[in-house]
Amino acid sequence: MLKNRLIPIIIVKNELIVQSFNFKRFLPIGKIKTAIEFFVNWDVDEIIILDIDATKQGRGPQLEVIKSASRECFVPLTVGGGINSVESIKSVLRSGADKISINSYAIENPKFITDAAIRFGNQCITVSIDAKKVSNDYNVFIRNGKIDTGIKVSDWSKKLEHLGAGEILINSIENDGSREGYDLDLLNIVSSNVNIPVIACGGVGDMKHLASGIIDGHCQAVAAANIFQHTEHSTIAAKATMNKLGVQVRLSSDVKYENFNFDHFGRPV
Amino acid sequence: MSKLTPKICIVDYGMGNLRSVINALEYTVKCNIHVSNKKKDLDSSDILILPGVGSFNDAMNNLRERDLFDNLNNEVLIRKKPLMAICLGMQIIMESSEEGGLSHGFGWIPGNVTRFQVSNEYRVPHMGWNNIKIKKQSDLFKGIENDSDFYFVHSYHVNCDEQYVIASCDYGYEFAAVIKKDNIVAFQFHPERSHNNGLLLLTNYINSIKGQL
Repeated sequence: MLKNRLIPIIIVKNELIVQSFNFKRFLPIGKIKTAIEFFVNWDVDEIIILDIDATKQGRGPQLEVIKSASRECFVPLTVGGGINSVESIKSVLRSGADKISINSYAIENPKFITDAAIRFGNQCITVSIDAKKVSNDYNVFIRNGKIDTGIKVSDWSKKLEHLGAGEILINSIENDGSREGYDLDLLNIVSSNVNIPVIACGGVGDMKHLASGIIDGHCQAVAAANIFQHTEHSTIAAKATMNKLGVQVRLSSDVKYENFNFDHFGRPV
Repeated sequence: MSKLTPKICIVDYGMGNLRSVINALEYTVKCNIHVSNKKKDLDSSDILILPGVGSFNDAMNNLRERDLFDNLNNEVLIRKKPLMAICLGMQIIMESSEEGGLSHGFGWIPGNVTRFQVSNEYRVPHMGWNNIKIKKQSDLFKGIENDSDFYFVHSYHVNCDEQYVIASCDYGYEFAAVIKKDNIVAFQFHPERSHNNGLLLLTNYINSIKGQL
């Protein structure tokens, strides 16, 4: 059967990985290449690199960074940030990415999703949504969470599938960096409105939150960024916990932590 | 006579991510890799790799625009050169696909390509890691256990006679994951992105061809 995926997100600012807190504070923590080598060896199913400066600085994707990241990335690689043309998608894919992720630009130019899906296949096009609760419903925000588009997440999700997106990455702005777990209501709004895979993001502070994104949020993949930094073996511990809670995952590493429990930092006890 | 470093030509027809195929091959076995759409490189290579991500029609149009249609037919059907096809590459070697209306492929293996017809609990694209059932033992699977996971990402799949299916996968129903006919091997999943199992599969493939050169 198809396994649920665990996906670390590498958030990049000025060519360094950062930890993000509510999209407002950023803590630089290391080099991209080191993180990729670590993740690939420790059983992750996919990797997403998001360059959060690109759109703001009005520049395209950093192709040399992608090339170097892709070299030892033997799992699928999704790249986001600064993608706004068929040409830029082509150059990102040629540099070693398998999928691209678009966010603000998709809202501003919905037709671009269709153009890109026709040209590269919809499986190649991930659309990322940054969402925040506004008067009891969720709205789509753009430009790193700064601008409220007034568009409802439920409407946008349905439209994205119709436009040709292959996958949706849903992120809660309020839960980002909170360690309180995913916003399950938000996840359910997206997963119940589309028939394409949905990746949960934002707020994981405990490995159990990951399983909950699948079991309670009904997503097909779970992503997190901060929790996978600073903790060796953390992705394996994450999968062992998910497995224990009944989620089907791929376990290929020799280290499986089958008979261990984990503290809230994800360290075996 | 055995050659130590086979020349591999990754056919560049403007579809998808060639870099990940190059990265994986460079990591696995000693080989001489060329990325090209030139007749002379196709002609002088020992192994052809037909990768591909995107839509069926674009792929066929791009191949025709680059005069690759006849050249590849010649290399694969007449000269019987070993060919490995990946994902969309596997689909375009079939006779036809229903993607974008009815489209014609190379027809090197009898069969067609259809979209997943699955109930709502299965999302399309079929995206992620899924286990394969080995149907026929082959040097390709040396060291790879039955039910090993590989990375799939596709909305369409190949239908062909089971004599060609050497491994299958299940997503709502069983479909062809690896097919083989004469000098052709094709994978619906991406070995280049399937971590250790994928790298081993690529190594096994190159080694099996090396033995024949």
